Amino acid sequence: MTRRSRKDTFQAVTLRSLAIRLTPAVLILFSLTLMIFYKLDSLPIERARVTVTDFMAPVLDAVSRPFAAVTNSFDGVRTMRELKAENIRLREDNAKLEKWYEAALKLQAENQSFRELLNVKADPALVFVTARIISDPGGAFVKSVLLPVGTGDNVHKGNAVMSGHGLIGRVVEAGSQSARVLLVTDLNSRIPVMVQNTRTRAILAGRNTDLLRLERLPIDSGLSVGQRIVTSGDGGQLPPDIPIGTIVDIGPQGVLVRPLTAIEKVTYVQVINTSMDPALISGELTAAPAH
Amino acid sequence: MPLQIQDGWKGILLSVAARFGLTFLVIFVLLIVSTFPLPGPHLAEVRPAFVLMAVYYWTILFPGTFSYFLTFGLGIALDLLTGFPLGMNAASLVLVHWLTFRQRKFMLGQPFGVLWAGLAFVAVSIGTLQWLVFSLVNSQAVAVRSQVMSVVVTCALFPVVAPALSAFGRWVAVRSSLAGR
Repeated sequence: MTRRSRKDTFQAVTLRSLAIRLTPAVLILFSLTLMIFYKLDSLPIERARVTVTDFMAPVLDAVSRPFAAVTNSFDGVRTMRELKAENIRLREDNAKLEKWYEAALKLQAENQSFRELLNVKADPALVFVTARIISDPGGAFVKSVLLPVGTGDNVHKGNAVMSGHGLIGRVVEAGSQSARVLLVTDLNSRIPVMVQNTRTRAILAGRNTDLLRLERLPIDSGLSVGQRIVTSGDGGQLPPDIPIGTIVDIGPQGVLVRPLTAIEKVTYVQVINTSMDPALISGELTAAPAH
Repeated sequence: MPLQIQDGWKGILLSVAARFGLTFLVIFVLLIVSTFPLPGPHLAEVRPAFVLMAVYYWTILFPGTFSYFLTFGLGIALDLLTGFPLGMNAASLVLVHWLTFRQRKFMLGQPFGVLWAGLAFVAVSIGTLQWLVFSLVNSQAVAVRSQVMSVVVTCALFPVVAPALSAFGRWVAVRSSLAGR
């Protein structure tokens, strides 16, 4: 009886020891399985992510304030020479902009009269939601930011997100009180765009660097450095004519575009809420209306 | 406020809950801090791996303060929060925990410089592994500059973070009365 008891104890200890030894290997294998599952079908994981982000948003919002204050104070420390140079540049910019303002007023009046003559149906007005960036969690591999606004604030998946200068990304996950924005610089970002003056269509792809690349360009597209890139509105997810960047290089790496906004310095953003077809939003399909 | 040490199974349960709970809480705070960029020019994309530092250092000094499941859970939380492919940080942290635990006996008697070199080795290895996996998942070579910067900053900050980790690990171990187990 005692021998049997000892045998049982020995077996139990061996099993326990084996379980402890195998635990890390099993967890690593499980993690790899999750990664494969994520690659095949990311929707359930996206829901889990939205839940966690919603839960964490108030905490991140509170923690981000002192971080933002420290970062801003670093940005505020500049030498007198830099400030003088900036002042000169701003004066020059102001002089140029005053001329452009006059031209814009004239064109606006002209445009308005043509629209009235042709009875053009105006695009629906865009609704903006302004929010502070509470976290920029991705780091080296993922270029995304979190906003403390969600479906409760009428922010939805697919909405365009702008800084003061142009498009910086689009909402890819929206919870009830938080939203994750995939930046245009992210490796997985693909935005339908066009060259502003030639209306040449292309796809703007992120590269996880400061520069973006134009893809799927037609042959002989006649591009040159300095041309502005704007959204084309193709696909219906993003409104057309939102500026994104300018072409800075045409070479062996392709046509490279620099965003108009230095994204790492952006604190507040505007989410553009367009009234678009909900069927275009993946995972939010709705039944067709009955006729 | 010090935790009361009790005898019997209630005491053991309380100790286990206290050490895992407190450790989880601290690493969770480190996890949140990890999601913010460092202040200063050209550091916007740099994220020091505070969680990796904690897992590495505590595995050597206070292995009783957390388990593989806790490491895995933190990795999953980090993945969900950062937008990484789910499982990437979880696998990385469990791997760090496992490999460091296997070298624990050797590392225990070593001066801080050796521990620092060990962390540098772990940070470079995990950084490279993550880069490879991420490139594989995206079917293209991902830009490496930010990751290199993050690894360098992680190594540079370790001597600053290590004393705090050491002090807190000791506090948890003593308060939960399971030091060295």
